Amino acid sequence: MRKSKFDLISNIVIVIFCLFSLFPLYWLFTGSLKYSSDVVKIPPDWIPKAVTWSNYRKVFENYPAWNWIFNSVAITLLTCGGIVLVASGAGYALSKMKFPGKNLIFAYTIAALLVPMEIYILPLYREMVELGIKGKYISYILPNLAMPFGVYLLKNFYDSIPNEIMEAAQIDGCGRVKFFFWFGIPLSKPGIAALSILSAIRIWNNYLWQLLMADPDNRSFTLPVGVAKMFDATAGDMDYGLRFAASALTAIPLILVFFSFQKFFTGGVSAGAVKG
Amino acid sequence: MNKKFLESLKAYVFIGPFVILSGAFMIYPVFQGFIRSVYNSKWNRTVFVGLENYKKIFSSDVYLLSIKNSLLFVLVVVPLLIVFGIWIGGSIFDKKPLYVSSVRACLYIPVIASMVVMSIIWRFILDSQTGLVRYFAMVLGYDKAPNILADRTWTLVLLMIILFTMNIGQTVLLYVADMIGISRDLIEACRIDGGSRLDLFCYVLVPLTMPTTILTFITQTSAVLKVFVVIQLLTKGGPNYGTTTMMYLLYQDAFENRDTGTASAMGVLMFMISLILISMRFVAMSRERKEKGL
Amino acid sequence: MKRKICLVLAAIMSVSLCACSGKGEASKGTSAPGASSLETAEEEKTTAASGSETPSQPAAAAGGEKLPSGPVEIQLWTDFTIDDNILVHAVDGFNEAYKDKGYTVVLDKFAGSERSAKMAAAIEANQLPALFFSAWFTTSDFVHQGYVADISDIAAAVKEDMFPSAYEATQIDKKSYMIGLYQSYFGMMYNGDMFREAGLESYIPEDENALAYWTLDEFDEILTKLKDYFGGTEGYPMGLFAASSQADTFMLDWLCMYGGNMWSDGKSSAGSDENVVKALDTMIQWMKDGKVNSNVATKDGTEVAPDFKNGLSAICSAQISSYNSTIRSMEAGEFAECDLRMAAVPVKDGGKDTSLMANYIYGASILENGKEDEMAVARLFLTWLLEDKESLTAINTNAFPCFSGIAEDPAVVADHPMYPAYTEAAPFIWDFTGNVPGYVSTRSKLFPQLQAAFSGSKTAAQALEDYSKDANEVIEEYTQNSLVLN
Repeated sequence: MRKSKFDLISNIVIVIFCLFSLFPLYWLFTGSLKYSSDVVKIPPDWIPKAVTWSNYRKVFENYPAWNWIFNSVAITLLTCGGIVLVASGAGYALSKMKFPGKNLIFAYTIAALLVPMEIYILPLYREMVELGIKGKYISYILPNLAMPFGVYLLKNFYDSIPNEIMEAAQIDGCGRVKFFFWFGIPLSKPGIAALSILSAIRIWNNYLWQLLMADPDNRSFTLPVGVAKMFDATAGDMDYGLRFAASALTAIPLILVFFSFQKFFTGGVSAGAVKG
Repeated sequence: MNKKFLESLKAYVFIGPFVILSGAFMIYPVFQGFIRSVYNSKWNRTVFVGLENYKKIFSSDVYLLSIKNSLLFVLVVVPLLIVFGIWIGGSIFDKKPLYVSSVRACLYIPVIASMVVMSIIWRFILDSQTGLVRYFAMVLGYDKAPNILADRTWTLVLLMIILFTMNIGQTVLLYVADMIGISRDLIEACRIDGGSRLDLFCYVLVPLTMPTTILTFITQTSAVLKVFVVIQLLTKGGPNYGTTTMMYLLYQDAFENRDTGTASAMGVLMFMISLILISMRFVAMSRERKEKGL
Repeated sequence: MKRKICLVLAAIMSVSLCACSGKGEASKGTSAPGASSLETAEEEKTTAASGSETPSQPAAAAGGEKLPSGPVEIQLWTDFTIDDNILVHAVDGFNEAYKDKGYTVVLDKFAGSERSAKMAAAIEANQLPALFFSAWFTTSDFVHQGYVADISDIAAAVKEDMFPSAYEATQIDKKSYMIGLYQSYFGMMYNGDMFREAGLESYIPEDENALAYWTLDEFDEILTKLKDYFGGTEGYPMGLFAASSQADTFMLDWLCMYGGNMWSDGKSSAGSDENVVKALDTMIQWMKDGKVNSNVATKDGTEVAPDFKNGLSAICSAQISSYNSTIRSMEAGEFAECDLRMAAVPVKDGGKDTSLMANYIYGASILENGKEDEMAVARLFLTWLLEDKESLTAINTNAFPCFSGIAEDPAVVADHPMYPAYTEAAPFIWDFTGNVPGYVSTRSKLFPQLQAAFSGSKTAAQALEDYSKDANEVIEEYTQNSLVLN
């Protein structure tokens, strides 16, 4: 493409903006490697002078951090798996199948995109208690399974599979259900990958719900809840370096996931994921 | 007929889990919320109060301010997200893959790091006593740093910047994915016709990514409207209620004041506002289309 | 595309229709599923409330006869700042003693800042714990809202052993809703080492167990010297805060430094008392002079203690129990050792120099959770706890005991060398709540106004006047709706 001044300036600005948006994270990670008194020092150490890993070690020694990580990972994986299953079924039906009430359900899906969980969190909490599942893994998972955004995303993805392919397959004696398993799922892999990572981030960071579902036993906490409790001054830890390390710890797993899924976002593979 | 019935049955098996789960864990509690909004259950008895809770909201300066702030956030941040999403996406999508993924990663990582962590870090940075702000003030020769979070205007601007940086990653991600999928021929054609970068934006990228724009508009409106964690951890609605949002007051009423009636009424209002905002968007779009004779 | 627009519009209409019909049904009270479940909840709650009116019959049974058969598990929720082991030990003792009956108490200890959210969720779900150990000022809010059981009979049995002030403090309309277990005076702690380094050793009492009583003029000098000591660094002499209602008792102490009254005749009088206004103006001046942190308006009460422990400040708000827990964590090596001391807040009332400390009473309550069995076991637990000398002493000595027998027991005093100092402080104690209904909710009206004053968007007088207006509205609401006053 022809070099244009506009394009060049745009990209310079973008790079600067990227650095700006990374700065808080840089501060977080370097802070996690500092001793407590160095974290809030003036003038600051832009690069930690005395590097220590002891903050991370302390998180694991003083707190059941492995339990927290296990809980968070298990809940996130199970929920994401569920979301993908539910959404791909629903998305496929909305895209490629005919049935009464289809328009209504699609309209609901769009409207539901607007409704954050926080609006109905109190009645939902009560429901969990009445079902007797509050605090169990299932209570973290169930309310998040029906994710309208996922259905919308995957429906658009299936829409991008031309009907001709399906008709051709039908002529070969392949029904719509079979088509879903043989072609639908494999063809929508990038969409599923995109949905997995988007929902993983959402579930992992769903702090308020996890806080409400948490049992008193601190081994049952998820990572964000456990870390937030460390920040509580009356019961929490006073070491700023430790606090930074714990916060960094909540971010690291997702950042790793993001990088390992990076390839699903590159090239044209995910194009269909957002076609309306 | 029979075949049609069978087809529907199969479809219901596919869509059933979604419908059942939505019904149980979203529609039902939302419905409960609607009912709750006409009751007062702060005291150990539940009393039907009609529209009292709504009246309370509309007659209180603090609640009205929170509605104003929420709308302000949506009206400023969401358009910015869309404009910058298209601009950043359109500026990077045809560059080297490594560059594209680096930019995307840089913008997306703050999203991953979660509002909780980011708010905590921002608070450390902005602390006028011990934070980086103080350091910069001292470098500039002042003994004291301004307490940015104590000034309503600056705090609002700051919150908008934070909301923007926290959400731009997702927007760029979607736009880039969409733009990469646009047929090369179209882009080539634009270039051969002597179109500038700006023309590429106006005639190719913006119209062709309309579906993404709609999706972004919908999801970001609800994301910005429900902003809570950053308020809770960074400003606590202050200074002097200056940055309260609807979601923040909803939380306060539900979990601090135990006034679930008012909290539910607030939830209903938030729901209505997002519906209005989004339907306005669609009405505008359909009018535009009519004018163009489509 | 057009089709989609139609769909969305249809969705919007259907949802809003749904919404309207929902409201209509609710108002008529027809048998919509949601409405009916709400009604049953209502019924349950009224039965629970009516139970509270005649509490004395089952009370007699607390001794042992009408106890529920079969296993009963109850929750004990607490936000006490106390060594975990003390409560665990007490709960284990009870569980062991009633093993054959199958009664178990499950302990859930959480931070004070989590309390509101947990209680709100529990009320919402009809899952209140039967036992609730907290500060009286927070519990009194629940009392007015009708969630706390009248335990006058259990309290009366131990009346003789308690300090009259502690016994009477937890009563409303002559009925006891809590049994005080320990009291904690709210003043400040200071870092003696820093005082010495700043040339302030003359202000440190010789007896390391004594509370420091400075005059307000002396205190001003202390702040001035500490300001020079910290000059140009990230540290600051003393932490003030106005970002939330957490620990705002400290701010109330200071608002009274010129002898002003926060409350009079059960109403907020802060706005009309020029001494309170003067106090707030003084604090604002301190901030401008760098004698306290520069970010009072945005500092949270939970943030000053970590700063203090990290050596960023020399004076910090503290009550006896948090002072003790700070010492515990220092001894556990969580932060650098220093000479930790406590002081009262200086007051200049007219021309007279005096001091004050707010008093927190912490104690045990039984909540009206609508479950007779659980409440009976909770009563049993309380009676058991009051007879179990070891646990009772351990809890009481977390700060200053509510039980005079324990406070004056020579063996206990030998272990707690600060008790004579606390006894001496008794004349300076004040009731920061004014015993007004809805005190907790008035707190949430105070800090936004303090923020406005500290950030300069309102004058001190205006801010306090607005606070008093808001607070009096809350008091009015509570007085009218209170389930125990009416």
